[in-house]
Amino acid sequence: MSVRLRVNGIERTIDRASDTPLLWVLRESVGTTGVKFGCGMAQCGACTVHLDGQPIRSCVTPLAAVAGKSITTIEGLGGDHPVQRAWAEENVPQCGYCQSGQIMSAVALLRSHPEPSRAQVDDAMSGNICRCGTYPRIRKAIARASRHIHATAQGAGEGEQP
Amino acid sequence: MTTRRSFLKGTAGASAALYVGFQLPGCSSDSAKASRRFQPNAFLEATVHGSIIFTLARVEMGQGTLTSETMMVAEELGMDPEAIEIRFAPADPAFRNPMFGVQGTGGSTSTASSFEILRKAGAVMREAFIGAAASAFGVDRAQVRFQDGQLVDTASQRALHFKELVDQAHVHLDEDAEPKPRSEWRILGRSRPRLDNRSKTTGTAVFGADAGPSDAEVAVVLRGPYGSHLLGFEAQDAEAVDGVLAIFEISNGVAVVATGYPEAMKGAKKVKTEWSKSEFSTESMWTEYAEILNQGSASDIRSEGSALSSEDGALEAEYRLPFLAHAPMEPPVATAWVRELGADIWLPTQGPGGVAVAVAKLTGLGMDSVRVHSTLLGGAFGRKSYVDYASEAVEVAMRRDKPVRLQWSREDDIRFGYFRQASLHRLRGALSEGRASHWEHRIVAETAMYDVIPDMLSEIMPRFVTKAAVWSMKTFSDDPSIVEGAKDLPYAIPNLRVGYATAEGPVKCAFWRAVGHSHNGFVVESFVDELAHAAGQDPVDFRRGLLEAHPRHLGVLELAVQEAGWGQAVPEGHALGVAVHHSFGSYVAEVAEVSMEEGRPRVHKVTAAVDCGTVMNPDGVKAQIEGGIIFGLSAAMTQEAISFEGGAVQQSNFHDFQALRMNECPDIEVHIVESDAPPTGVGEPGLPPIAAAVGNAIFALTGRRLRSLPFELV
Repeated sequence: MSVRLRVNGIERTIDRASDTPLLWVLRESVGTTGVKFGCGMAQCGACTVHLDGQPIRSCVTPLAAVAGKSITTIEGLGGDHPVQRAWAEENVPQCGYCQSGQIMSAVALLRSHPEPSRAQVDDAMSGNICRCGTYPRIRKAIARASRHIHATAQGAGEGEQP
Repeated sequence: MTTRRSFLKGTAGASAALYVGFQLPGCSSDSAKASRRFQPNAFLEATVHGSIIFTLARVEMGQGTLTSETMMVAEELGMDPEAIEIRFAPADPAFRNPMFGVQGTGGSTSTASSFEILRKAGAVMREAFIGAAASAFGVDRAQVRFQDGQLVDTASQRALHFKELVDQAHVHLDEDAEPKPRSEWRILGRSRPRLDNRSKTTGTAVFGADAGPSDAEVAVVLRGPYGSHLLGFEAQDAEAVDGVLAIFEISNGVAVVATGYPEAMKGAKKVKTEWSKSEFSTESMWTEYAEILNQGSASDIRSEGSALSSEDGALEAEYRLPFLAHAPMEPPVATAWVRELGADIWLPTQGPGGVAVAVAKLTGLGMDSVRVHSTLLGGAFGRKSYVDYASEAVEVAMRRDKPVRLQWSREDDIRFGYFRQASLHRLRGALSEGRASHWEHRIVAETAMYDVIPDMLSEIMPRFVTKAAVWSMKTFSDDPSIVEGAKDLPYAIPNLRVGYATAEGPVKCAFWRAVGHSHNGFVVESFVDELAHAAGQDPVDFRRGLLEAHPRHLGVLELAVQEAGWGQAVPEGHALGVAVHHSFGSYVAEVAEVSMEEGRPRVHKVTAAVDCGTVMNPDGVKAQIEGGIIFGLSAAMTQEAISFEGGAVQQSNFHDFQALRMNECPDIEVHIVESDAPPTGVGEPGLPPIAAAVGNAIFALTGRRLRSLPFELV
């Protein structure tokens, strides 16, 4: 089955079975290997990407469900996103394997809640497991990213992209 | 090459092995090669293009070696660590861990084992460049400084970049070069950002499945219950699945090879396998363990004073800890490519040396035809010390013309890995005049050592010798994976017995973060608390009274309780619990603040103090202690436990083998004790005290003593 989708702004045509999970399309067909395989059943969040701006678990999202849609992966954040900067400034990563998913969840959280409460952070981030134990730093990094975004919005008069 | 011996003067004797087999290009007769780069030792290379290349021998699995070890050489070279190019070590005797004798990362040994060697390696390179510069300037070497890549004559301010001296430096090789004294440190001892932050926040970091040829085929393996073997399989339906390329038996089960992972999984679901029956169950195991202790089969390995008699009014308790999977976020994976003249393998591994031996053995190739390409590890916690997944990849690749990536699913990881062994502990204690007078601790568990030690030793000795070595270890020394943290009880208790029995079972047991300390830290620190309460004493005062001979235990205990506000008011419905434990050379005390919410404990805050001797990167130490605490909390507070029925693991993924999540994670504060002592590890020592600290707080709050993990959360 041939499916067209956009990944990080680039149009792609994928020729794989329609039930192929998006995760493996991204890793094996597109080559965006920043998205990670952790559990295969939407339990750990390592595979989190954005589908038309919303965070989804790509390991349980079939290719057919993303036909004609727009996907953003960690590579699509550009490297200098305020959340990525905050992650480095708080020294969040340890092994780093879950962090693509953590960052994608945090970006989505901050888009809907620019100044999230602790409960909102817990709600939005509890689907992402980190076995190294970086949760306390993720909390700090989200607060820091929130300040970055606020400062940028003040300076530029507009929100952060993407 | 005789100069290499003197190069090692001043370093630990065991480290001599580190340089065996390494050729110094600087001494080579190949002058063209020598003039393009200066490589004074296995770890450092300077090029005419102005690069300093550092080869990292202790793999990066999250614990921060990539940053802290680069800081060690950067300090000696007077360079920004960011300016140093880092490469991962191939399998080579030059990169063996002197604390193990094999090329392995684990046991919280990286900093301790590298501290002298890497600073020395950096000092030798620096002094060689200074010598070359002094000669070029025609001045005394004492007036030449090496800073940020420039060699500066401090008198005339003339400067040369090191790249202009690459072809001269080997002439000035001074094997007696001394590392800088701590008073001159500008890099070590100060917190600095991790060098892998950028790659790990942009998705560019290369983990196991991201490495190797992009056209690799993908294989998965169907494996059977513990204690069973494959009787047969039927693959006709599976072979018809689109993308499935081949299905065949390998030593661990049935391999399904396909064009991609989902295709391989689809095929695997259609393979029918038949396994022989296995009787192993955790329920019958616990009965058997109790029987072993009932019969007094645990033999004492520490015996002081007299045994408890019936008049001593003993306090008795039984503690129980389950099998545990490591469940690193990156499941095991390896990509192998086997050709007639050589083999390559790309994988995340704690033991590249052992992998090379396994590949050579399976393929029949010589060691020099095997190339191990280490990647970053997406977590390991001990799991990636083993060569099982590498061997599977090689076995499959030997049957294919193309490279093959062997991918474990999460279900495979939870069901078929090596596990932290389950253990049953019986303790008896007695008090006399408010002090502990008697302590008895007897343990039964499977070993986590001897399933794997032969594999590890095969890197350095023939198989028949490894068998003899294991026999002698088993016969003449205690099994650390069972007794560490119990045998070395620090408390001054005059009448003491510690003993253990090794259980036999089909489960492959393994090093799991903090190994023996992962169970004994909980048991010992909970039972000390039981004695303190029985004595009607404050748990901190009680410990103080028994730790007078152990200033470093006391140091972390005092710092942690002071920072946590022990003895001061806590919020209504909250209570504090404390524990202190020494492991892997480091000392950690933790205070947990806990409340009960709808009958379940909630940990609000953990205050930790650590004494790990001289600190390389304080923020890195804090991150590791935080990580150890959370890993330990995960095993205590969530349904994280492995059980067996008919030899099969009853859990399969993160829904039934749970891990701590953000909403359950407390605030954590880590305080570091100032110290000039030699550096010791931090990857594991944060873990052992935490379950006890939480359990002790739950007792203070509810009067209920929880003696098994995970805590029964009702």
